[in-house]
Amino acid sequence: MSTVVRRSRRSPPVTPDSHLFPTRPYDLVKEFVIALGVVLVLSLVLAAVFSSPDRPALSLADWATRAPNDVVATATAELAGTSTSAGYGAPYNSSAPGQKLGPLSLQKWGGVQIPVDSAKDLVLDPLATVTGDPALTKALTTWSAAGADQQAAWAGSYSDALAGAPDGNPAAVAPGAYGPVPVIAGGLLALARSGGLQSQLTGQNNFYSSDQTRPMLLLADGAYLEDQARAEQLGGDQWGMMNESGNYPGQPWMWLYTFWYQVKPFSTSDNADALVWGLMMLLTLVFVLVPFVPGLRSLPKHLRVHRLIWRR
Amino acid sequence: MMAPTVFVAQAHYLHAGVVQISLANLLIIVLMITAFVLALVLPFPRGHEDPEGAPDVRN
Amino acid sequence: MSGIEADRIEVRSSRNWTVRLRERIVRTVPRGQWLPDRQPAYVRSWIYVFGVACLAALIVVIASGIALAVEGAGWWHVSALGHFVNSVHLWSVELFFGFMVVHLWGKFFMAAWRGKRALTWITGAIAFVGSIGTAFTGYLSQSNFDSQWIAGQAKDGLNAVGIGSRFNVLNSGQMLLFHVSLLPLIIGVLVVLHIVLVRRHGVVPPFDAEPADYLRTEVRLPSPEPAVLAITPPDQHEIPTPREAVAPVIGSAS
Repeated sequence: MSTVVRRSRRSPPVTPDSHLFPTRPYDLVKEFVIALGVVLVLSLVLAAVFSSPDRPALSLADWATRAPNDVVATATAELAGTSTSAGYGAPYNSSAPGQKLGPLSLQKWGGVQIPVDSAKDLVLDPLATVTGDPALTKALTTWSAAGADQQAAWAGSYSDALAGAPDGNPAAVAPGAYGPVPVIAGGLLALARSGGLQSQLTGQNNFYSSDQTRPMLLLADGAYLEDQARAEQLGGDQWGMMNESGNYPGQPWMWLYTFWYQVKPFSTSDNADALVWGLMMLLTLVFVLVPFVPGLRSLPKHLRVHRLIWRR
Repeated sequence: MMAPTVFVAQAHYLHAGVVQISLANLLIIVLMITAFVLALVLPFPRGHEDPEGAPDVRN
Repeated sequence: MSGIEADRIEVRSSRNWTVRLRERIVRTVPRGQWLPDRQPAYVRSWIYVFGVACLAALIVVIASGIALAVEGAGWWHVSALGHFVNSVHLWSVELFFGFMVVHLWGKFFMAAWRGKRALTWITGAIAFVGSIGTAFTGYLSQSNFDSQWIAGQAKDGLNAVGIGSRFNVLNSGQMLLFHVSLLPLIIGVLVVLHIVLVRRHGVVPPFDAEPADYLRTEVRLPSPEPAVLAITPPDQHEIPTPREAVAPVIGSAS
């Protein structure tokens, strides 16, 4: 027996209890088992036919072999304090205030919780462990004995010189006052080529470290990683969040998150990441709370797609 | 500088204004919309009769 | 005082926590509703299979994930079988999201939150968002070029809002553990809650539907008598109404 009470026209009708409706047989377990079988077969077939992408990770040795000039330029930028990581701000250092969401300095409030001194941690300390290279050892000593202004002048000049050289080739830079920087940068390249740099940056004093923060920051400070990614449409302004290496489907469900990065004001804002995140958090909240959002919650009834579902 | 080695096949991308989408992703989305539409329009099989022989809807 | 009311008082006053928990479980989903063999007559559309298809896909995702975990994070790079299992994991995830989104579309157009089902929608929506996060840590755990690039990009987003150090995407050990333990556990709990709520409330009725709309008509022929409208009372034994269940269990939104 129906217990629905029709109220005045203004208030919405009460949804009747589903258990009061006439029923028909329905085999839930059989439906589940069939669904499981179908999905399993589909997964196996798709896996067999299309496989999955596995582009090998870039090791620092790979980087040094394939883009040595980029390694030298990156090492120089670390010493000059002009690399991305050097000027990042929280959580790595205090060099920059970081992004803001309106008046909220969220990045800064996060604090310097993963301290990384780009020049010291990514370049100088790993090189300090190298033995049997007197020129390098002398260069490191010269560097550490110099004042900050002198260091900045040397590294800045060498950085400019590399940018002006054909292909960024260190062998083709114009003569100048670069101090020990060319030897140090060259030393980092050699260490990277040998494979030693990666374990120095990851391993630290921990044999089992799984934290790739430092080698990743160094790699991302270079141009090579991004060049490789952009070649596969993985860049942020290429809808990259949705994409995958090769001819594979990626993450189509990220379409709305990555959409904002393609349009103003986000595409030209220094606070793009914070703004997009804030906007998506708001939209997610609305999505979760749809049952309580006036207008949105009554949209389905007016759209009438339900008439296809509940045909009589 | 040495040319970087490319490990994967070139993917196909479609461009329309600010929108850029891979063919693979587009295919997935089209398949999903198709599945949704088909689910709405394809008739659901009529239920089996009750063991007692009555029509399937029981009050 | 009815028997039900007497029982209600006895349960509330019982000092036995076992009794109270047991009765609470029974009240959450009445007996016969955990696995009913009948559904309301309006449940007759292919759109209804996408929820169970999503669940089935989740099971394949977890099973293939367990196979990858058993052999270790690097197995799929060095073994053809491992690569195949990884592919199964990838494609079952694509199917999982595909079915989930179609299920979401269907539920939106049905306004399936009606009839005190808001929490069903909410648990489903949070599970969707949580699944995206879980998949994200999966992409970070591939230990290949994609993982490197995704980690490098994602760190900027997370650092920008101050949470990058808590959730360090450049720490593959942390991301892998999130992916195989913490996040699947959270998704699992959400999925269980979601399904329990569906079992509790039943499938949402159509807009403006009344039980009488679906009454079966029985026409007896030949007879000079007019056709008889056969109305039998709801089968209380098989599908007890939730009004017999007492207080709502999960918050007040049931």
